[in-house]
Amino acid sequence: MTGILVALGTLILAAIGTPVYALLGGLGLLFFNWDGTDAAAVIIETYRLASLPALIAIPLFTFAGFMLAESNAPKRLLALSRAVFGWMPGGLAVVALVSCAIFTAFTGASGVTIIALGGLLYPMLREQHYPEKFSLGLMTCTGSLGLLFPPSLPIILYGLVAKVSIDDLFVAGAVPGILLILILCVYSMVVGLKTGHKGTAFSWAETATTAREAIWEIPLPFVIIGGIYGGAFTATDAAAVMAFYVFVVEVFLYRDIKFSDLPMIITESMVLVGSILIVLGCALGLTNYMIDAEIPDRLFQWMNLYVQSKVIFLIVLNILLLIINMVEIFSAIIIVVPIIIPIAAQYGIDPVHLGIIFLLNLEIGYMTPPLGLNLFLSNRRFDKPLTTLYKASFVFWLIHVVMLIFVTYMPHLSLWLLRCKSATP
Amino acid sequence: MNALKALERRVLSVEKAILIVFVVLMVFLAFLQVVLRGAFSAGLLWADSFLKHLVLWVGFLGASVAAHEDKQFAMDAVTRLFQGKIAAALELVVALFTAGVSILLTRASWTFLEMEREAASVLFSIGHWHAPTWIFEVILPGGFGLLSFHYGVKALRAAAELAGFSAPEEDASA
Repeated sequence: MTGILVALGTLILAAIGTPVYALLGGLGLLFFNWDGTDAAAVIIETYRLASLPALIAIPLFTFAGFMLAESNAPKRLLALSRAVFGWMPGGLAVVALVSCAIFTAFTGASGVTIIALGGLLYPMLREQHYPEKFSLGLMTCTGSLGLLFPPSLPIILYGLVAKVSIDDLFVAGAVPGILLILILCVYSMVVGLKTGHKGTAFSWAETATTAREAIWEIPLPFVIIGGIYGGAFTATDAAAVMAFYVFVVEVFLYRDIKFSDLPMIITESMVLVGSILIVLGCALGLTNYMIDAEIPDRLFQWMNLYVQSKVIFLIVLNILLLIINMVEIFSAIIIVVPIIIPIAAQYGIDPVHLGIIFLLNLEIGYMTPPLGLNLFLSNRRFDKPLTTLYKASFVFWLIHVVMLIFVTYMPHLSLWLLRCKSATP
Repeated sequence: MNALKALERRVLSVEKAILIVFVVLMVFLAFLQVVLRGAFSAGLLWADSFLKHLVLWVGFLGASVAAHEDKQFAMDAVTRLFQGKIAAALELVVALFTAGVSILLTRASWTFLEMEREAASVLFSIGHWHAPTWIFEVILPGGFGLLSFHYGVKALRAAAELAGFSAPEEDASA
């Protein structure tokens, strides 16, 4: 009875906009109190934030991402990828996909892509007579494309919470991530051919000029992504190098960012970091309690009555995650992952594979009506009604879902590269 | 109300100042560690634990500013439907609950801090200086205390609006 009241109260408080950290902290305090444990035990768990090994990667990558977003890096990236890919049929759409994926990965998938790049790309697409519906759908899905590539924030957070190597997750995400972009590129080319758009002529001079302009930023993806995939350094080292490098490049070499802009950029980036860390800190006590109370085990036993096969479990999991992820992705990772990891393990699912399923689900959740964040961002950025955006992004959503099915039922897609990596010393 | 607003602004500027200094320190020190480890295969012994605690400080201060700017993760689908008095009433409930939980967490952190002070453990040593762990843990009650403060102010503001004292004003410093 009390349990039902607490659950009901929590749901109502959540619905009227109570911060997630307060809900988790309140529940943690309540449960520990029921057990007769001192409230300080909750804080001992919160203090574990200071011993999580790779946590520092979150503020460092976020700071670097916000710096890049505030600088002219998006413009330089766009000009360069236009020069390199613009000649292909559907070239501009391919440019949009590739540059948005890179940008989203580097800015931590916090939704800046649609705001920063959408305003530049959408008018360009329309100018080249891409259908309105296609252009809107494309821009809406690019807001989360690239979530599977380093150094995206959701992957780091998943790794921390699931206690899985972040470097392994980055490697595992590569093949599914690239495949997804390739399929979207093919679709865009088909649309490009249909509209009779031939692409612009390739020019060496243009490529050289745009490359020279972006000369300081070109090494970034290679050093960071290459360094992590190649095993040259860990995600934490990569974060430290990137934050310092971006700081020097944008402030001293390009001078895009003035010293007077720094306080605002630092504060805004740490507001995002802080709101993630406080939820994580308050969840640590609660999840620890749930694991002690063997909640995942009990859930598994209950589920096992209805779901015996791994295949059906994965279907149920995917549907469940799509619903949860519409709410808020960072909180979803922090709250749901500790519970599903032990359950999935009972069904024999590799935690790294589960991570890629989970993250691709997040990516889809971003564009799933009615609550997906990308839809709201597009609504604000392009001033189009939500219902138009639902229709416009449907094909892109469908492509994502098909990809999710492949990723879910073909574990090799995620694990193959990882095995190759671990096979070579 | 005006005195409270002035106090909030002052608290916020102190939070932001510390935040900025700590982030810059973190960026440089983390990079220095990578360079030292790469070049001499030995970093500064104290830097790793120091950096981990810097993250804790930066996280709590960021969360506190996020509270002020209404950027804490929360569901807003339902509240968006309401305006005026009903919105203010919901805001009051949320702010009171959040402030209440934050105060309890502050108290619990204080107990934790006292335990740590008694334990008198050393986080790291630089030369002859042995840095006591508890000093770096001050941010636990401090951070939850700041969150209590921000939500307390929010609750007062919502209550004032409900009572019809003042229309909600935008904070110029935000």
